[in-house]
Amino acid sequence: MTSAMSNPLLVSPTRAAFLGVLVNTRLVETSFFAEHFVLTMEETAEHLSALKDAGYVKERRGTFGIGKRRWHRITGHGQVDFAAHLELVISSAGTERPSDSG
Amino acid sequence: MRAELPVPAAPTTERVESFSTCVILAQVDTATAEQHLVAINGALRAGFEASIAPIRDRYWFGIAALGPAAVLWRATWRFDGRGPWAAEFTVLRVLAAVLALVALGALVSYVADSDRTVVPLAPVMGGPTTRWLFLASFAMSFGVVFSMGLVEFVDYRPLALLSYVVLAFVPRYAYRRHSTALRESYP
Repeated sequence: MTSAMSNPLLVSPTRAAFLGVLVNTRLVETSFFAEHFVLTMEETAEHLSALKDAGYVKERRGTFGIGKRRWHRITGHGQVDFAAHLELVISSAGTERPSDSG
Repeated sequence: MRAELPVPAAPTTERVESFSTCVILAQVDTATAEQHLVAINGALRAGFEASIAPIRDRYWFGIAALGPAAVLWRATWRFDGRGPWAAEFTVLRVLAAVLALVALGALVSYVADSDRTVVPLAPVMGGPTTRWLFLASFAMSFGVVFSMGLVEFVDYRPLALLSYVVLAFVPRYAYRRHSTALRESYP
């Protein structure tokens, strides 16, 4: 199976949703995630850090707007694994829970 | 959105590699998969909506001053800065410089004040496009590049005005229609 399935990182719907935001955009600032998902900045940074460590997200610091801001973009690896994860979720949503034989 | 799925207790690398399918599929049952889908759909929509938000008007009206600045500066190429045209030459150059400063100031203000938290995907990078976006980019090209060329054949005064009107209003209108068209076509 694909690496997305074997990666427990995306079992968290919040992290999968973070990738969902990034896949339609070029750059997203940290505060957008915090605001949209009603998370604290620490929680947001934690999720983003996990995605960054997995190679799904790259961070870039910029001065667009006042002060230094952290921008994030999805990597090619992240796009592939997110697509695989989405496929798994879609197929699972329409199927019964697999038996313990797996 | 805050709710997290139950993560397998301290999954070791071996466990994940050996039982990747059953471990994750066991977690992603129908209910949790639906929960995932709702979260992902909401996120996809949020990213999409934020990325097509148009630029604020007050900045755009200032940035559009770049058009007449370019036209006036190009118009001075006709003169050598001496003789009976010297005064007009100076006025045009000064006016072009002032307009360029206004445009630059608006651009700097936009960058400094921007509370934008999402940068959209450009069409060349796979971002969505419509005929309205094409019109917006054509209007921006017309407002600066074509107008500069037309100065050779047309009086610069109406052309400077036309370039400002085209730059200030057409791309804004076209981008709004582009956003609307994308929003309506979003599945």
